[in-house]
Amino acid sequence: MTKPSFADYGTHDESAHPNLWDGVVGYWSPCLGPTGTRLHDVSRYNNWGTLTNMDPPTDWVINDGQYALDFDGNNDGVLIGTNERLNPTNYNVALWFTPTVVTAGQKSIFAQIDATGNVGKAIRRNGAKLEFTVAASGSIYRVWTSDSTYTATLTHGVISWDGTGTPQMWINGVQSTVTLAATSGTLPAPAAQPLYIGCDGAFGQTSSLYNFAGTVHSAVMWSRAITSTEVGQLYLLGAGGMLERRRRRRVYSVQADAVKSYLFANRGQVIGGGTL
Amino acid sequence: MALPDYIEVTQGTAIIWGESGASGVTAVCSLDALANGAARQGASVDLGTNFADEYLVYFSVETGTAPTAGTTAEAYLVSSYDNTLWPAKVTGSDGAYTLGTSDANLRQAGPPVVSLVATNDGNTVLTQAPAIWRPRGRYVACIIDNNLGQAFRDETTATDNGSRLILVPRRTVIND
Repeated sequence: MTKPSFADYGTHDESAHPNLWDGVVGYWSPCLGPTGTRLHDVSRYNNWGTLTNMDPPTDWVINDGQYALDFDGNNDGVLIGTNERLNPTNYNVALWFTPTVVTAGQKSIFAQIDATGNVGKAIRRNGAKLEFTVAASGSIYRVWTSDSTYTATLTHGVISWDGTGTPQMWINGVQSTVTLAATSGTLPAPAAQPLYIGCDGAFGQTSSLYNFAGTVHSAVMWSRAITSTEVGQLYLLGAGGMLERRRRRRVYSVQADAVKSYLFANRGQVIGGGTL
Repeated sequence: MALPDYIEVTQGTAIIWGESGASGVTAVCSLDALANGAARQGASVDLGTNFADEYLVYFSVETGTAPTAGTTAEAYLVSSYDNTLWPAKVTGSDGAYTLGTSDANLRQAGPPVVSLVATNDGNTVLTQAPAIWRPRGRYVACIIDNNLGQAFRDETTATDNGSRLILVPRRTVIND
C-alpha cells in the first residue's frame, strides 16, 4: 500500500492542510491509486479525466513508492475537457512528475491547447527546463526556468501567473529565475481550451512531437495566487502530501457519580484531562 | 475517579451488501454476473440515529473469467440525511445504475471509496485493502462499477456469489 491512497485521504474538509485547499479548482491524483480508464478529480468540481490511447493495466505504475500514470510520449494522454472553472484568470498549477529523459524539445505535461496547437496554455518540459506557454492567434508568450533545474527524477514544478505579468515558477520548492523564451504580438488573453495531462491535446495526440514521456503523480490547479511559502510547504509534503487526512482531536466527557471527568486526546493518545 | 489510561478502537456490527440471501448479507446489492462496464446500486442502509464517525470499507469481487491484472472495479458510497434525498440519482433500492453520458451521474457521487485492482485470477474472490470512510448522513447506499473487462462471476445459484461491500463501524473506546 502506498501513501496517500484511496484507502485514507482527505480533501477540502478533511485535509490536514486546509490552507492549501483554498482555491483548488482541480486535483488529479494518480498517486491515490489505479482507477481504470478514469482519472478522478478529487476537488469539489469532479472534472474527471479519461485515459486516452492508454492501457490501464500497464500505464498505472508505481514509481518512487507511489502510484502514477505512465505516459509514452507518443499518443498517451488524459483528456479532462473544457470547463470555465479550469480557465481562471489567476492561473496556478503544481505538478509532480518524472520525465523519462530531459533532452531538448517541448513536451507538454499539462496543456490546454486547441486542435491547431496555437491557442491556449501549456506547461511543458523543455530539456531540463520547465516552460510555460500562452498562445493565441498571432501571439505567443513563452517563458522558462533559466537553468538546468531538474533531472529525470521525481520533480515538483509550480507555475503562478496572474494573467498579465511575468509568471513565477518554482522547481522543487525553489523559485527559479524566469527567462523570456519567445514573444510576439500582445500578451494573449487566456483562452478556454480542453485540458490534457501528458500530451498536447488534439493536435499533440496525433503527433509525438509535443507529448510527454514519463510519469505524472499529481496535478493541482488553483484559481488564486499561491505563495512561495505554500510552494515550499507543497514540496516538503511530497507528492499527494496535501491529501493527508486530518487527525481528529477529541474531547471525551466521562460521567462518574457527580463528578465529570474530561479527557483530551490526540491521535489516540491521552494528552491531558481534568475533573469538574 | 482516575483518568482513563487508553483510547482504543473497536469494531461494530458489519453492514454487508451482496446478493439477497447470501451468507452474511444484511443489505441487497445484486452483484452476481454484473457485466463489464455496468454498474449496480444497492439498497439503502440506516446507520441509526447515532452512527459511528468512521467506517472501514472492504470491497470483494468474485471473478468469473480471469480479468487482466491491473484492471479495476470501483465502489462508491453516498449518504442521505432522510433516506429520500440522494445524490448521483441513487434511488435507495437495489437495481441497475445508469452511469450517464461521460459518467455524468456517477460524478455526483464523487471519487470512489475503494478501487479494487484485479489480479489475473478466475473464479476467485479478490479483496482490496480496506479504506476509511466517513458518512455524510444517517442513510447510506452503494454503487458498484465493474471495469474489470469481464463480468463478475455468474453463479448457478446467485447467492453463492462472494462479491461483497462491507462497512464496519470503527469506534474509539475509553479504557480505564
